[in-house]
Amino acid sequence: MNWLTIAKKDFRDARRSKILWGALLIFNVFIVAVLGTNSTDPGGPYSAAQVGMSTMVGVGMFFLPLIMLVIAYLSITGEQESGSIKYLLGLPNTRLDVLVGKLVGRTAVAMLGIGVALVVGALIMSVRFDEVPVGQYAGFSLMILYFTAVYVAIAVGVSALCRTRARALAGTLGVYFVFSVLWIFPSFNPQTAVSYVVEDLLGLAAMPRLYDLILHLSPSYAFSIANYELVLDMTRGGYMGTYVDGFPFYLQGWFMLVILLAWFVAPLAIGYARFRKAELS
Amino acid sequence: MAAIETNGLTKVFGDSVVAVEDLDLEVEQGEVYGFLGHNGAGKSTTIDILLDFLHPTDGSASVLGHDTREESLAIRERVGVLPEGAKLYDRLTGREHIEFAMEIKGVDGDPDDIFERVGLDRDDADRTVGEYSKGMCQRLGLGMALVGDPDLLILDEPSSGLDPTGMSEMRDLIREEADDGTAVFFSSHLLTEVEAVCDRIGILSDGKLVAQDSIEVLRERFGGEATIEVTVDAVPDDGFDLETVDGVLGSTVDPEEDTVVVECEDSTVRGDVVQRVGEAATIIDIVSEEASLESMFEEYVRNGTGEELAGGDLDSESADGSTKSEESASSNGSETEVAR
Repeated sequence: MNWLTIAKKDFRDARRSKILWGALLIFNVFIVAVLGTNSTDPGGPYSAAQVGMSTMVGVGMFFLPLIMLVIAYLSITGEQESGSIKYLLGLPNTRLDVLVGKLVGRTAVAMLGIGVALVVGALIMSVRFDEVPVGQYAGFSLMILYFTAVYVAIAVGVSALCRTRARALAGTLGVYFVFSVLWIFPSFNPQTAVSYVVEDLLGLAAMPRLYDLILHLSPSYAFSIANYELVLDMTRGGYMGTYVDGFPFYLQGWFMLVILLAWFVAPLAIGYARFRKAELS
Repeated sequence: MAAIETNGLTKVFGDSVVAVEDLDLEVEQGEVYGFLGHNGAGKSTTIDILLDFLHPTDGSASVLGHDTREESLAIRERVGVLPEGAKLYDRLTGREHIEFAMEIKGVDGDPDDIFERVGLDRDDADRTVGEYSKGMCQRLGLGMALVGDPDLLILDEPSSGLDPTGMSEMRDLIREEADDGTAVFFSSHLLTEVEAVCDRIGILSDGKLVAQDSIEVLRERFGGEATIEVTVDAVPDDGFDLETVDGVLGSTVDPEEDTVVVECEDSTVRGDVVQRVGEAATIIDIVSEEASLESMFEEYVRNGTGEELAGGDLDSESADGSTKSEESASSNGSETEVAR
């Protein structure tokens, strides 16, 4: 159970960092701003609470990752740079203990901060809106926390790969920009690139299902679809294929959770494969 | 079973930077072993290999009978480590550091006992390490190493950052641990430190072990060489021509300080030296030293393999001694300052 001891130490250490709390404070301000100012009577098919939560999903899918990266990108790299990892690994800890301990410790810090924001959000909603969908808000909160854990895992995984602060920053921001921004950017994304390869270079028939799947591989996009389909009960447009008989399984809401799980596991696995054998100096 | 054993241990960084070369060390259980060398000689690299922070390019190392590559965890369960140049956690208190080490090592006990042993008072224990001085960090790091009564202490430059009192306390602590049966392996570039506390020393130069023995034996080998430093009113332009004096091994003139340092084969030569200097200038001061360990250390390092002094009788033999000697001689001037 050394990982738990490391997690506790790391939690204690990180929780005293002003930078981390600054990042989490920004998210709290953001929640207050969104839920405190959005219309209490939006009209249209959706309730004010639904619209408020969907706004938070839309902004959070881009915003939350940045906060998680700030919280975790130095989790292992920082110890390498300062040399404190020599104390950590001079004690009878395995590298896996360190990785898991860091993941758990930073996730706990992030979830504490995000949890406060979610409670604040619930309070604002109960004051401003006539009707607060408790079940939906709980589901929404779980989604936020899941997404939080995923991006902490990505940052810890990258941190395990990188020996210097500059690399860790470039690596985590790189993952964010490619998979959470560029991937979703209209008319400039892997979807259109793949359609170009399939149709223009290979001369094959269009494969809209493939393009749609590729779009959903983005963790931020998967997070938003999971929210719309599983929690908020709102419809989504923008698919390249037509699905009159319903979506194939890999485009359904539950599969988004699987994609997010892959984003949780893969960076940690890659980071560990390298960190396990890495030389420290 | 030796506390530490390395066989042909070699570490090459990149393609050609040889940090440690064909190192054969043996540290017995319960002994205090001083691992001596200038900065950059390969001491920290060797220690990093023992802890599996670095992997050998060639050869192998074992600690307490466990291979460093295969059974690192078993090693670290029984070893206390003070790494060099490693920062502690600024936002955690001293007490939290010790408690962390205790929990990882699975030992109960009162952290205050540790603080007492390393000379940190209770108020300091509850301050965060960000407020600590370098010496206090060093004491705390040592305290973490002592947690769990290890069988072997590996201390990398333990006295760095300590004032003279701290260094003396550190030495006492090392002796205490040794009397308790703990083997201590510590690196240093300070001979005085090693001399005061070690059963045996190994001298590392350019990644090679150039000598390994007890201090008495090493001193004996070095014989009665003596150094004399003479200060004069003014150094004459053409020097003192001391090399022609029988028994003078070498001399160094410092025109700015108006001093000349002369190394003599034995102490009887010193009279002749003083006479020769007195003929050329007015003598103001004379400082004479018996063979010091420091000069012995410098001599070993300068000769690379130590063969000239010890007649090839040392633990480390060198096939390419000639090239090594040139390298160490060329870098010796600047490193000498560091050692003193």
